[in-house]
Amino acid sequence: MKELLTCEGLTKSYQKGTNALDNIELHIGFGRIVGLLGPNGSGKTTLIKLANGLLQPTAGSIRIAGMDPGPDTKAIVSYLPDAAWLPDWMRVEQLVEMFRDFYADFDPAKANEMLEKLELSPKAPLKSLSKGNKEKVQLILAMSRNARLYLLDEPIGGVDPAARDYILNTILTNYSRDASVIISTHLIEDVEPVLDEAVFLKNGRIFAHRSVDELRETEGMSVDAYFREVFKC
Amino acid sequence: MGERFDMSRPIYAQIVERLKAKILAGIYPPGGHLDSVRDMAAAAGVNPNTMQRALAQLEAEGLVYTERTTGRFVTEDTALLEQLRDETARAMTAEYLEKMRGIGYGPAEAAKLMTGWEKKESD
Amino acid sequence: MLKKLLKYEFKATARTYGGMYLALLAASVLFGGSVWRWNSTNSDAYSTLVGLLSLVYTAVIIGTVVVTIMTIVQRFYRNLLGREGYLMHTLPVTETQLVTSKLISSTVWSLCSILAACLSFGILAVLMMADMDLLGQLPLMWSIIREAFARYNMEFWGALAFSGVVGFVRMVSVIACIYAACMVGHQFKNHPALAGILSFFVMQYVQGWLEKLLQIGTGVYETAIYSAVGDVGSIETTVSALGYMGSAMVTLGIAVAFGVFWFGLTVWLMRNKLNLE
Repeated sequence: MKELLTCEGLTKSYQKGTNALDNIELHIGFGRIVGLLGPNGSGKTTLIKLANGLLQPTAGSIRIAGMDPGPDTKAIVSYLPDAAWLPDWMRVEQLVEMFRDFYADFDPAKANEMLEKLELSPKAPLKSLSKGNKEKVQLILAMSRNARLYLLDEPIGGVDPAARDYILNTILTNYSRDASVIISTHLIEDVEPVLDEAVFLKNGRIFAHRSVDELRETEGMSVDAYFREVFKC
Repeated sequence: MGERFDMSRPIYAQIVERLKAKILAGIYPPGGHLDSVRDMAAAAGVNPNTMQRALAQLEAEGLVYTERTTGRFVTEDTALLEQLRDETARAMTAEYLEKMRGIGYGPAEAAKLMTGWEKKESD
Repeated sequence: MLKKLLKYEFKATARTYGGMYLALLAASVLFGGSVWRWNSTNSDAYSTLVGLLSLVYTAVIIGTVVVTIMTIVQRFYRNLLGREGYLMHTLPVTETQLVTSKLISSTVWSLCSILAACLSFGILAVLMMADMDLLGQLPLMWSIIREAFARYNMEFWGALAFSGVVGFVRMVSVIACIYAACMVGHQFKNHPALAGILSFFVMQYVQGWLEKLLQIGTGVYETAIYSAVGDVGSIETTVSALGYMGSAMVTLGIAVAFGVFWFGLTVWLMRNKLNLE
């Protein structure tokens, strides 16, 4: 097994005639932190949902560690959706318990430590939390797994800069050579230092897939500046 | 989080420069033990593969070495460090003089400015 | 994994159902109590109260039915096909386990709703008759029961019990059909709710039509039961050529077959046609 994520001819259309993803070829190896970069509507979320089996491909295939999305891949993929998805009526500690119940790779001690660091009360019902705090809880749950592939859809969108730094630091300290992290975002400046690969999506196609240091060297500009140039209006 | 980098240049190259400076300044003393790649990456706020690449370059230049079981260390070859310090100092001086020339200062005038600089600054 | 899913499913639904049953029992106690007071005082002041509470009680009974059905639909639709589906479908469980957990919890709660309704009727009856000399009436009730047993043979009682089993299987099958309809509705992105409701009625219609067409459907079996209530002898005469046991088994078999089909359809659609947008 050489790859964690493999997309071959992956196509998804929601309506006939328009492709949200168009013939995607993507290969992600182990031990990589990859930025999935593109403006809204470029297909980032669609790609991540396909990897989680929440959407079915119209054509082509997507495999995780060589397997089609299913219970076996879900056991090794940690997913952070781009919107609130946890049951509102549960308390934070109940959610921790639930993750521990279902995911063999979930580390409750890590989750509790992060909750404490970010001053989130385990007793609080999810619905009593602010939007930013809800996102933090969701991220903590996702990052407290020792998964092989982390699929983080806009993980830093709604949180304050201090929490953002903490989150990025968590991603770095969590790093393992057997695992890869895919971060979808349009806030490139913030994630830039932690990436080693960048995949640029434009209108459902992969515009570029490059090593970020190689990009800086050959283009003489930051990933963020490159992005702005590519997606100039 | 971590350090600030110039994002328009490869980060690994900047890390190499900074680590070199720290080694030359003795912040990482000769023979000193370096943290794991992961910890160093997290401290700097950069990707571990980037940190790995920077360390690999330092290793290629002989500034650090790896012991299979105990980790990474700064070289104990003080002669090499001396030589590098000298080279770096020369390069920086050349750069400085180049700038001074830009405003019409020659090396002699620059040297005059330097003499007693420390004392003047502390006044 | 199924056990864990069930644990969370019951946790998530316990409050809704528990609250509803409490409301149901409270309504029956209040209504029954008001009738009792009215009986014993004969005061006109109570007649308005009784009238009002009878309306409340009726509303709560209807509410129980509606809430039970709505909760069955919502727990499936919202939890698996809405936002919470992001979590449910990224748990390392199979689609079969997901659907089974919903089906089991819905079945258990439906039975509980039926029991709660029976209990509330019982409370109501006892309270309404509280003024009568209940102990004095006991011998009369006993003789009615004895007479009933004497009138119908064991075959009839067996048939009645069996129809209970068939009724249970059909209930489970209808729930599975609701799930299948939700999954069919999910295929229509613009009007999933409407499409789901329509497909439910179409599915039920097709099921009824097929049963009729096969001539060995549940209808035949029911005719046998109902006519037997009136006359013991008619069981033999009404039941088809298959004989009583044969007819009963075919009926049960068809109910099970449809249930399994709806369940399979739900799982298949969830595995191959899930698109959470």
